[in-house]
Amino acid sequence: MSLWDTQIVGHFIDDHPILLRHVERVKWDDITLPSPTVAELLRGRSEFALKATPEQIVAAHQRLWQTQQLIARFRQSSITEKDASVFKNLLSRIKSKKRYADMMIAAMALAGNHVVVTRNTKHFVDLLPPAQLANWVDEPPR
Amino acid sequence: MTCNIILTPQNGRFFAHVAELPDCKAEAESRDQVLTLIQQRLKEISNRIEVVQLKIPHLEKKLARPEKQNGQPQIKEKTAPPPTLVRMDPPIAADDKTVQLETPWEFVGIFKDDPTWWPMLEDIERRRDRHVVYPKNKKRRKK
Repeated sequence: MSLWDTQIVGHFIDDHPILLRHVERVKWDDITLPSPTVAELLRGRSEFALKATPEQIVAAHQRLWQTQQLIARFRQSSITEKDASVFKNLLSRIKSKKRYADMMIAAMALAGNHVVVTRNTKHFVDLLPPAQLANWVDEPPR
Repeated sequence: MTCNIILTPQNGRFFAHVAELPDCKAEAESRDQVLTLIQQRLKEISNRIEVVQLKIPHLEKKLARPEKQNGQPQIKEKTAPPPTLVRMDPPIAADDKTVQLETPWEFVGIFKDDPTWWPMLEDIERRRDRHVVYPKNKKRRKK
């Protein structure tokens, strides 16, 4: 199963040609939004909606609504006890500074033997084996 | 949302349909089986539909009760709710095999004219950069 990082959702919505070629080659059912991705998208949209000026308010809340509808069209993975245990283990053995959300997604991938699809492969390279990391934006399908 | 399931036992079999969605039907050998099946169908259908409520003033006038007559108290006409868009489906779990999802192509390009989409994603990235963890034995360098 592929776990999509947040930016990948951005490129999907943005009609990125290489990403869409990848999407055409897989079953949509094999693509999942991990909980941190869902949380980041909703937080981004919600904050804008809550701070919107009277001129922005309709568009801001409509976009929040559309984003919720978009997320509902994906399979979603919450963090399980097993994921949490791997996450804890991962935290205890990092050798360099790491982004917290990246580590959550990496732990979910390790625990479930999934592939993280991201454009930020450099952030995951020492957290996951190469077979569990894919960049569907810059690397066309073979 | 709560749906009304019409359950009919007939010739040793059980038939079910959803009152609100006449095309959503199932048939099975037992009551429990047919209820499980109809739930699965509902899930499948709810993934590809939207429920839209439309106010049609012209029709509302036609269907309205007549004005008060013969001294009878006038019954106030109910106001239809504003148009809303309702999705029925909860999040689909990654391991839920009862539902099949299709690629939501209709969402591609949906935020094309949204000037906040990429700035929001860039902000998400900046926030990730700020929320970091360090190896236990290494002290955070002071700025």
